[in-house]
Amino acid sequence: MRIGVRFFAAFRDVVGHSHLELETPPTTTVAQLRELINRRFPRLKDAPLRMAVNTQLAEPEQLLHEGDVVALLPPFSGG
Amino acid sequence: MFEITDKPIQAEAIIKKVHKADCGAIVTFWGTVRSPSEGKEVIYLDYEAYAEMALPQLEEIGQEIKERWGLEGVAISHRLGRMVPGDIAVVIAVAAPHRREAFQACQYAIDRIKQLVPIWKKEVFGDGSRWVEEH
Repeated sequence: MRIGVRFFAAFRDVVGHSHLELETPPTTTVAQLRELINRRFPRLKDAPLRMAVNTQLAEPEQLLHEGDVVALLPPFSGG
Repeated sequence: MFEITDKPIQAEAIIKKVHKADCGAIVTFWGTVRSPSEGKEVIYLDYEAYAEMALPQLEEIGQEIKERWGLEGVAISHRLGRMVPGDIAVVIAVAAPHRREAFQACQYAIDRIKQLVPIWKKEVFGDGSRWVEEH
C-alpha cells in the first residue's frame, strides 16, 4: 500500500522532509508503520510522539488503508 | 468562532464575536511570547501547525465547553509564523451569563489547546534554537 507520512517540527528537522510516500505491506497497522519509520530514521525511535491517521489521533493497532495520510506528531507546544 | 491565522490577532473583534445580551461576563486569555525562556533571551519564536487537524481540534474544544458549561460564546484565534517577545500568539474569549463559568471555561480552553491541538513552537536564541516540548 502507498501511505503518505507527514513530519512536523523537530521530526521534519530529523527526517529532512515534511512528507514522504512509503510503500507498506497490504495489512499494516499504525504500530507497524512506526516500526518501518524507526528503521529508516533511527533517531526517531525513542521519540515521544502521537500518530494521526487522516487527521484523527490513532491507536497503535489501527489498520491502515491505501492512500491514508499518517502524521507523526511531536508533543504539542501551542497556546 | 475558531481560526488559525498568520496575521496579528484582532482581539477586540474576537470579544465582539462572543458577546451576547444575556451574558454578564466575558473572560479572555491572551498567550504572549515571553523572554527570557529557560534563562536565555528569546530572539523570536516560529509557530507551525498541522492545520487540517488543528482547526477541527479547536472546534472540538468549543464543543466540549458547550457540553460541559452550556456556553456557546467561545472564540479562539491562534496565530502562526514568526513572532517576537510581546506578540500575542493566541486569544481566547468566553462569554457566559455569570463570571464563574466564564473563568472556568476559559482556563479549560487554554489547558485543552495545549493538550489537543497540533501546534508547535520553536524558540530561537542567540546561540541556537529548540522545539519546545513542555506545556
